[in-house]
Amino acid sequence: MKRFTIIISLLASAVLGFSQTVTNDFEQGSKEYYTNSCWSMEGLSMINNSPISGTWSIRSASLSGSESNANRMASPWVKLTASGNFTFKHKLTAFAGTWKSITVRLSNNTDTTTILLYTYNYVKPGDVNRVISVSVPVNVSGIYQVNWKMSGAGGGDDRIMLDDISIPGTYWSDPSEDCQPLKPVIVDSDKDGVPDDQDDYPNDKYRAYNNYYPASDTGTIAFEDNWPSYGDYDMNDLVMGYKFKVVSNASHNVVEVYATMILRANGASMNDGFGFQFPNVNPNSVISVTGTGNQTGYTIKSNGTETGNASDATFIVFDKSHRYMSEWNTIKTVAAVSAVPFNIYIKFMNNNTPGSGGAVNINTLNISGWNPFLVVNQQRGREIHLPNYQPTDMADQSLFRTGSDDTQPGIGKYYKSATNLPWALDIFGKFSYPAERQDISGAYLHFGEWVQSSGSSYPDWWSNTGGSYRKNSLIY
Amino acid sequence: MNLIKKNILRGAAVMMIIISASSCQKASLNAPDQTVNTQSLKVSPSFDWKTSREIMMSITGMKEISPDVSNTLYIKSSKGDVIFKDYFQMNSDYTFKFVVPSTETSVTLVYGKKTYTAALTSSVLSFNYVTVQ
Repeated sequence: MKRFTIIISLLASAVLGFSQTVTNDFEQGSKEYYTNSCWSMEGLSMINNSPISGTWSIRSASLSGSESNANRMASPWVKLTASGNFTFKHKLTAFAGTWKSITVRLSNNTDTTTILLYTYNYVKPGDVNRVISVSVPVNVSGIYQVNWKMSGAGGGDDRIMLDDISIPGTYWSDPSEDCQPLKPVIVDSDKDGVPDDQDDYPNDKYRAYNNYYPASDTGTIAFEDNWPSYGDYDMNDLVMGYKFKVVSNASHNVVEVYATMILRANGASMNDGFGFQFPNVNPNSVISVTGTGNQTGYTIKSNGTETGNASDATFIVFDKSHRYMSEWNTIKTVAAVSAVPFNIYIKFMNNNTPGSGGAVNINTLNISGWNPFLVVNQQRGREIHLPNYQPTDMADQSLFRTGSDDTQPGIGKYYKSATNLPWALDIFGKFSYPAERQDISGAYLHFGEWVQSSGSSYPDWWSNTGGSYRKNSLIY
Repeated sequence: MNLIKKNILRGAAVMMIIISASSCQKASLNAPDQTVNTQSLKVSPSFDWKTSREIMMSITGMKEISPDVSNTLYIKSSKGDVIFKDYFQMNSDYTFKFVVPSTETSVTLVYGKKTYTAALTSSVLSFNYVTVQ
C-alpha cells in the first residue's frame, strides 16, 4: 500500500508538477538516507518490529527518565500556504512510567517563535500500542519546519513510534547546502539556470560548461602503419597528441567541441592521413567544422564531415603527414621540427538550434569513446584503428584477416593480430615515443609486464617513474 | 622521344638514390635493440591495451526532493583535476561515463557543500547522495 502511495505521488508529480506535500513513510529503512534528505533525527532509530504501517517506522529511545530533549525529529524546510491538513500517526509501545507525551510545533526560518500544532498526553493503559491518527489544519504561510518532541518520565522501555507523515507544502530544503532553506538562484546573469559562480559562461545563455578530455595534460595516439602486416613496433610511424574541450549547455547538450590534434612525429616513409570519428553521433548533427588540414582525396560534406559514414560523424584532420612535417622527428641525430597543431572547431548548436540531425547529449557524444584512425599512404580504405575499435564505413574490409591482421567482427575483434597485438596505442598522457626502429618493449622496460599481466602490473609503464621504467637511449 | 625517356630514367635513378639514402640513414643511426621483441609477447585475448579506465556512473536521485534543488556535480581526480562536471537536479536519475588514468585509485564527488570519496574498485560507481560506492 505504501509503495502504491509513492507511485501515485510520482505520477501526480509527473502530471501536475512537483508534489505539494512533503511525506515520509520511513520505508527507505535508513536513517542516513533521511538525514541526507534533511530530516533531522535526534535520539530516534528506524524500527521494523511491529511498525505502525508498512515495513518501517521511526521510534524514540526509551522515555523512562525525566523529560528528555534527546527525542526529537524535524522535517525539512517546507513552504506552507495556509491550506491543507498536516497528518501523521503515532503509537506508544509501553507505559510503565508516570507520564508520556508528544508535541508538534512549527518553527520558521526568520525568528525563534514557534506555533503549537498538536500535543497529546498518553493515557494509561488504553493508549499502549494504539495507533493514533492525527490530522490538523495548517493555517500559516511561509517557510517552516515541523518539529516533533517526545517526552516522558519514569517507567521502563516506553517508546513512541511515528509514521506516515504528510505536510501540506513544498519541499524547501537544499540538501547540497547543509539543508538550509532553498534559495532562488541569486546571481544567474544569463538566466540559463546555472549560477554564475558555477557557469563557465555566466553571460552566455547558450553555454554553461567546459569539460576537458583528458582532464589534464594531452593524450597520445601512437601508430604502426604497416597494417595489415606487422611493423617494427617502434610506435612512431604517426604520433598524434590530442586534447578535447567539450562545451555544453545547461540542458546537457553539446554546443561545440574544440579538438586539438598535434602531429608530433612521422617516422614513416608512407604518407599517412589521420582522422577520427564520434561513434553514435549523427553526422547531420554537426553544423560546421573548421581548422582541419588539407583533405585531398576525401569527399567532405558541406558541414565538414566525411561523406559515406551514415551513422557516425567522421572528421578528416589531414590527408598527408609529410605535407605538414618535413622531418621524421624520430631520429635523434636529425634535427627535430616543431610539432604541428590542428585546432579543429566542431559546431553542434547555433544559438541553441542544433544541426538537422538533432541535439547531441553530452552522454551520447561520450568524448572518451572517440575513434581515431590512420589512413595508410592515401589509400582511403586502409584504416588503422586502436585495438577493438570499429572501422569507419569507408574501410576496405577485404583487408581484414590478410597479412598479420586477425580482425573478426563477429566476436568484436578489430585491428589485432592472431596473437592479439595492436597497431595503435592510446596513452593517457604525453608520451615519449621510442626512437626510430626501437621496439617499444625495449624502450619501456615494464611494457612487456604490463601487456602480459593484462594491464594489472605497471599500469604506469609509460611514465618516467624512478629510474627503472625506460631506457632513455632508445627513446626519442 | 629518346630524350624524354632518358630524362625519365635519370629522374627515376635520382629518386632511387634519395630513397635508399634516407632509408640507410635511418637504419644506420638507430640500430635496433634485438634483446626484446613485442611480437614475442603473450597477450590475453581479453586485454584491452588501454592506459585508462572507463567508469560508468549511476546516480539515483532522492525522489522526494524538490526539482528546484540542483547544483553542479564535480568529479575530481586524486590530484584535484576536474574530470567531469555538469548540472544535476537532486531528485533525478542520471547515468554517464567518465575516464580516469589506469593508475587512478579514487575519485572525489563534490555536490554543493557535500563531498564524497570513492575507491575505484570496479568499472561502475553508484551514487545516491548518501553514499558512493
